[in-house]
Amino acid sequence: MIGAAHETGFRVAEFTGTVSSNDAEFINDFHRLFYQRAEPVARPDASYRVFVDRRFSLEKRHSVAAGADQDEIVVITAFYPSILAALEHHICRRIVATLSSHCLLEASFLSCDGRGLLIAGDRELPTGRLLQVLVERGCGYFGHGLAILDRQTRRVIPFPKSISIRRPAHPVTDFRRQEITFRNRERVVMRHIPPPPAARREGDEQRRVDSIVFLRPADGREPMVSPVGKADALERLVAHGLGGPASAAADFSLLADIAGRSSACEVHVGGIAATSRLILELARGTEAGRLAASCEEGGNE
Amino acid sequence: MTNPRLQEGVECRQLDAELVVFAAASARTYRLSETAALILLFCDGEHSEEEILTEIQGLVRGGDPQTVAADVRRTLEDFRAQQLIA
Repeated sequence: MIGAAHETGFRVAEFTGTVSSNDAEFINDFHRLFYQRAEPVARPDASYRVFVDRRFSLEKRHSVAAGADQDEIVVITAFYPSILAALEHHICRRIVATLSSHCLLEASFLSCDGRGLLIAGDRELPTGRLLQVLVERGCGYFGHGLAILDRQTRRVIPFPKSISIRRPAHPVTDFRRQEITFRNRERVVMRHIPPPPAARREGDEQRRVDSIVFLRPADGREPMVSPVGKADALERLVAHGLGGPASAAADFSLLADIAGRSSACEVHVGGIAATSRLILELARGTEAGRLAASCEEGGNE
Repeated sequence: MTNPRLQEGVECRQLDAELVVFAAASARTYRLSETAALILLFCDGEHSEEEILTEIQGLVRGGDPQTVAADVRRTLEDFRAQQLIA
């Protein structure tokens, strides 16, 4: 049985969760990941118990297991950054399953000079690093990886989770075999960027989707952009939807409204700095951004 | 045979010149050509297949009537196969 000395609550829109742990530092790190705190409630939508063992051992294991009533993660590990990634993934899945009254998209949302910018892209793309640079350049941050849209107001609800950046895991040397081998060479872990200052997160910033950027991999270092028609944008937005069949028609209607009133383009991600500059120009509707978006073949020169 | 009509859960939205159709049952979207969109819009339960054919032939000028008829019937079959109409 885990001796959970510390307990805390977190909230994402109407979704509430509770995390308990024997390790105060873990709880602090968790709150840098899901930073909107809430008082622990009697019946949270999800609860997790995390046991952190800081003694070094080669027998580290962690698992995500469903409990009898609530989901729980039972963890025995000294390297809990990887557990935070597992916890993040699990909580996001629970949010998608729970927040059925909202339209949920696999996308990120920023505000740029008062204009809302929805960014959708493949999971393998470096969206975290891109978002980090955009926030550093002054964009307001509303969430990474999950865009929560209110069906009534047609606006984005902040997703209070830090930016997560994928990076390769350190290879683990397996000393137990006669020969030294490396396990999990291809694994990736998450690095969680502390949340931006509150002034860049919520408040009076624009929460209406004005621009949509669909990210795609690029062959070279130079980012490229091509326009996306409204029907195409709608089709792509639907493909990024996370809702179930019950809400599919309502989500389609909302996404059609968004696609109909927003400008959309596809950005082939090159270098992070150059790509972020290009996205800023597109979001701000500068002459350079308009010129880039109007190029059929996407040249940025 | 009952008149073609949209299946429950099928939503249509015109964006620019294109009609985007969403079928909730399959969670799939379809982007229809102008003629296919016209055919679908006549699938309102009020028009029989023959009436739809007549309407489309009146709208599509210069086409061979037999070819147009074959295209309309094939499109309606496609709509049924995709469960867009009943």
